[in-house]
Amino acid sequence: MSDLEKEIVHRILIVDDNPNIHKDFQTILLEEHESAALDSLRDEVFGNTKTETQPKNVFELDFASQGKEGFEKVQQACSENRPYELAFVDMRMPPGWDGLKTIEHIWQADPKIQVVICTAYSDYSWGDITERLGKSDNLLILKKPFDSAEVAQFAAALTEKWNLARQAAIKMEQLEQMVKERTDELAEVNNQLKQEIAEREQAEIRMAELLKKVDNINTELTDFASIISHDLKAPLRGIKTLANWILEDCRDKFDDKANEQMNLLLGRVDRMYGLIDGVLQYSKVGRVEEGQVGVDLNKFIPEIIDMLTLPEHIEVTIEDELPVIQSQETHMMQLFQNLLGNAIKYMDKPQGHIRIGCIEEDGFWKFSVTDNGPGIEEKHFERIFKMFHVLSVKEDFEGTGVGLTVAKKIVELYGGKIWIESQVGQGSTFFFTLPKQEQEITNDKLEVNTAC
Amino acid sequence: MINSKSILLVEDDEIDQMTVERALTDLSVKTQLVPTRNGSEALEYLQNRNNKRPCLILLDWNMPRMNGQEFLTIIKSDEQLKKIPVVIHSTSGAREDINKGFELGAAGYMVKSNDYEKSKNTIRAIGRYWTLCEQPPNGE
Repeated sequence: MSDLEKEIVHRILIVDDNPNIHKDFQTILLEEHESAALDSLRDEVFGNTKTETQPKNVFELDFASQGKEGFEKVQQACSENRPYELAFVDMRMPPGWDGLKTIEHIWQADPKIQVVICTAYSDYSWGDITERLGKSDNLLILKKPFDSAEVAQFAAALTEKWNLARQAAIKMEQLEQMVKERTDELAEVNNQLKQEIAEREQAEIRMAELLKKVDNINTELTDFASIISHDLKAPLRGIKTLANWILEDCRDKFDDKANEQMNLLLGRVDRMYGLIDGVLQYSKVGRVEEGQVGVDLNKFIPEIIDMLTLPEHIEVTIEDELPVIQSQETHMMQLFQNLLGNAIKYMDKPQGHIRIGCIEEDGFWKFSVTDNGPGIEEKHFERIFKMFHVLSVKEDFEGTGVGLTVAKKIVELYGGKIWIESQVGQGSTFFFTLPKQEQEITNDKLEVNTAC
Repeated sequence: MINSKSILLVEDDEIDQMTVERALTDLSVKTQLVPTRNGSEALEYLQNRNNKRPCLILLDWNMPRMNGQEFLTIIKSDEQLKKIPVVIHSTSGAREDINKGFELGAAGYMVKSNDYEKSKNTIRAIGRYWTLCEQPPNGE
C-alpha cells in the first residue's frame, strides 16, 4: 500500500439538480476510468513519461443538488483548507440559483477554482456569460449531452491546470518572499549606512569642536606663557634691584666674602631671567604669526652682531655670500642671536674668532657658526639642544639657557636640522640647514626693492 | 628740572616705586613724587581739589584694582585731566600694549629695565624731556 502514499487526490464538485448526472460523473470519473487508465490519459494529454515514482492521480467527488448548496460546500472546503480544484456546474437548477449565479458565488468564495458550466440549452451566449462573470481563464462550457471521454479529459486537464497554477502561485510567493528578504536586507544595509553617515557626521562635529578647543588652549597657553613670564619676572626684578642697592650701599661694610656672595646671587638672578625669557621664546616659536618675508641675511646678520655688543677681543667674519631666507624675521633673529650669543659668551681665548659660513647642499642651505672657544665634549652633543639640560649638568659647564632649544625648534619648524661638531679646547661648529626655496626668483625683486 | 610741581607715580610694586624714588634722589631731582598704588588711588588723588595737579603722570600698566589701561581711558576722557602728559612705565614690551597705550593718548612708553642703571637713565630722560617740553597751562 505504499502506492497510496503517492496518491494525489483531486477534489471535484458536481453541482446539478439531476441525481442521474451525479451518477454519470461518478461512473465516468471514478468507476469507468480506473486510476491507471486516468493516469495514462493524463500522460497522453500532457506527454509525461511514466516512471516508478510518478504519483497516482485520483479524483474525489462531492455533489450538490442546488447552487446554494454547492456554494456552501466550496466555502466549507476552503475553510477546511481542502479546496476543490474543479466544479462542474449545471446551468438550470430550479427552484434555486441558476448556474451563473452559483458560479458568481463560488468564485467569491474561491477565485482559483476551475469551473465547467454544463448546459443543454443555449440559455446564454458566451458573450452573455462573460458579461456576467467577467472574462475568466477558469471557465469552460460543456454542452450536454456530454461525452464521457470529454468529461474525463476536462477533469484531468483542469485539475492539472489548477495544480500548475497553484505551484506557480507558490513559486511566485517564494519569489516575492525572496524579493522581500532581499529588500529587507538592502533596507538594513541602507540603515547601517545611514547610521554610519550619521556617526561620521557626529565625529566631524566632535573633531571641529576639539579643534576649536585646541585652538582655545593654544591661545590660553600663549596668554599663560606671557602672564607667567611677567609674574615670575616681577619678583625677580625686585630681588635684583634690592641686591644691587644693598651691594652698592653696603660695599664698604661687607667683607670680601659677603661681596662675592652678593655677586653670586646677582649671577643666579640673571640666569633665572635668561631661563624665563628662553621658555617664553620657546613657547612662542611656531605660534606667533608675523608673516614671512624675504630676510636678506647679508644685511640682517651684521645688524644682529651690532646688537650683541661684541667685546673687543672677539671678531666675527662672514665668509660666504648669504642667501635671502623666506621666513619670520623674529625667527632668524633668535636663531643667529642664540648661536652667536653662545659663541661670544663662552669665548675663552684672548683672540676670539667667530666665522659664519653658508654653502648649498642637496637642496638645502647649510649654515655654520664656528668659534675657537672652549669646545664641548662629545657626550654633550645631543643634550645641549634639550630644554633645561643646563639644570642637570655640573656647575663647571655654565648653561646655555634654552637658547639652543629655541634654535633647534626654529630650524625644525622650517624643515631643517641642527647639530654640533666640536673638539674640546679647539672650538665648536654649529651646523644647521634650511631648505632652499625659490629664493633665486625673488632675490632680484628684493634687491630692486631694497635699492629703491 | 620739572620746577616745583609734582610727579604722580601710579605703581603697585613697592620696589619699582623705590626705584623711581631712588633714581630721582640720585639724579638730585627736587620735584615732589606722589606715589599711588593703583589707578583708583591715583584717580582719587587727582579728583581731590586740595591736591596740586601733577605736571606728569608715570603710569604702570599691569596693576590690581584699576590697571593702567582703565586709568588712562578715564583720564583721557576728562576735560581737565587729559592735558596732563602720561608716560607709561611697564614691564611689558608687547606690541599690543604699546599700541594700546599710544592709542589711548599716552605721551610716551618706557619698558622697565632689570638693571637699575638703565632705569635711572630712563628716569633721567623723562625728567630732561619734560623739563624742556612746553606744558599746557593747567587752568588753575
